[in-house]
Amino acid sequence: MAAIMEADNITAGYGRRVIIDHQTLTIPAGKITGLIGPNGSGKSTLFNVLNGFESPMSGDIKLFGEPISQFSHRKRAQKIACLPQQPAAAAGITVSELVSYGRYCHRRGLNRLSKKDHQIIDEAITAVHLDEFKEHIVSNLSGGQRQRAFVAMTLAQDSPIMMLDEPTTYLDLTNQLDILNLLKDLNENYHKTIIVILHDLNQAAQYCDHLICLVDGEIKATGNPTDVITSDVLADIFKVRADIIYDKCTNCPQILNCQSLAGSGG
Amino acid sequence: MSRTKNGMLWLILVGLLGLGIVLNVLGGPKWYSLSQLWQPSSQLIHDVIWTMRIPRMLASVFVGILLAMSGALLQTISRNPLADPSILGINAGANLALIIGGVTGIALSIANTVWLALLGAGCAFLIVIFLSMSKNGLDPLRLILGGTIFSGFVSCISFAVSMITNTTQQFKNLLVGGFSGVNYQQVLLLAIVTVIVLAGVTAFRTGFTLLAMDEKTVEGLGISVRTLWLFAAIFVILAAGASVAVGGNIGFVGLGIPQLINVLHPGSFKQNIGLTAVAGGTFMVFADLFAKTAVAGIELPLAGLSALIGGCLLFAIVAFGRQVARS
Repeated sequence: MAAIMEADNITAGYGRRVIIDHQTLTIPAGKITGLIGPNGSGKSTLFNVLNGFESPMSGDIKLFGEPISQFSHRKRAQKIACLPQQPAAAAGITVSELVSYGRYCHRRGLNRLSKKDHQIIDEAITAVHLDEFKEHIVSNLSGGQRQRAFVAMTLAQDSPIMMLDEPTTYLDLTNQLDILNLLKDLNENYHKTIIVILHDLNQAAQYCDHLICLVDGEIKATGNPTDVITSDVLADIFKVRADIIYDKCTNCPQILNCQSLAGSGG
Repeated sequence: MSRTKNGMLWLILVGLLGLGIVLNVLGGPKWYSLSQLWQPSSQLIHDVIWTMRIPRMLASVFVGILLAMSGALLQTISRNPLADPSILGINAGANLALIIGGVTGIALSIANTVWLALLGAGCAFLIVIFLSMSKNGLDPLRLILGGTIFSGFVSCISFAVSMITNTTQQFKNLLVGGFSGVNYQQVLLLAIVTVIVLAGVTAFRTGFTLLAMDEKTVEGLGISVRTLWLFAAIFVILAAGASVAVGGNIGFVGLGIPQLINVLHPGSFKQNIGLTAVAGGTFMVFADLFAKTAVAGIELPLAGLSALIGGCLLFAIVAFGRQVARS
């Protein structure tokens, strides 16, 4: 499994507070990697050092084999498109305007978008099925449509890697599945390497090829969903006792009958 | 539809600006007829038009453009529709620097007013930014609250300094705002700054537009937030400093004009900045006309006039439920 990103012995946190302590991990190329873990486990911290927003206190992060610190903002954005949690659009802009922002890291000095830019913007809007809404104002869209517009913006960055921080939070189930299917589609048909923070373990198991499970800033389990979603991991990390069944077609693990162990001291 | 609306607005605003320019030159303690512009009936009228009224008209247009643009810029980069160089105390800082300079005996020549105003505006901006920094970077609410208090504080010092030193009459223009006695040197200064700010904002317009989004998203798009902020700050300080150096502390143009354009034509920074600039110039040229002609024999204080109109606008905005602060 070729690694597109590697983090070697990284320590990260805010101010003096260490959240991620000496951890090593790799992100496989061409796969969907899910970051899972309880609240406050350091997922967002890890996310923000992997995408280069924050520098780690120590350790190296390599992007395509080169230290990420050597990438300029623009060069990094050409490699990694990143969608934070609950992105906010400027007031009054249309979907196509928003998506065109994704081209920022490719432009050279001038403000004009080239023919190629327009083509990529149109393709991105088509990929998220928002063709009819191109000229609609982003803030007037429904939650699911808005999220897809932002995904289209990151898609227009035309980067091999896409990182999304909880893209399904605050969406109803249909829209959650919509976004996840979209990510699957982008992974399979556009060959994107995707790194995504997810809360729903069943969805993570179903849609991700590779899972990284964090707890208290430490990587406790990593591998494909069948290796990571086990009753031991659930009990140790998430403090729940649950039955696990395996999907007949895909052999993907799914969790049933959860019971919290947190209160019972077990 | 939006395109035709945009075109209409441009047409109306440019038409109004043209009308305002002509009326502003003709109006004053004594109204002239249109034909005096090319066939002055006496040397005196010729001199009044060319050495007093035209520079004054030009100064008001440039200051209107500069203040409206710096307001729009501040509102975008701080993600707060209430930001404006006078609310944040940038104008007041420039003002105070000029008054202190004048009181301490620095001759208020063009060159001296420029560096004093820029220094004052720059220091004020830095202090306000520092006040509004929280753990998670710039806090839009702190920016506005801190800025308002700071602005009031600095304005009080300005008044106190000029009261104590008995120079209120000397600094009247600075304190209450106005364009009487503007000369061509000052107009040239404003013209140069306007060209710089217009060119800079045009060059960076896409970047500034993107800054309106949340910081993480902006960073993900490959934008160096710091660099853009630095340039935006330079343009705001230049615009506010030059405006204050010539016209004194005129408030609410930077707040009201971008807001008004946004209500008439909702759109991003990039789409609205041109309209905002023209509307600022138009507003100012009419406000100045009103200040010098409304009450015979008296110059109304432009700052007060502008604040009056701006205040009404602000009430309207709040009443119609526009978001006042986004965090």
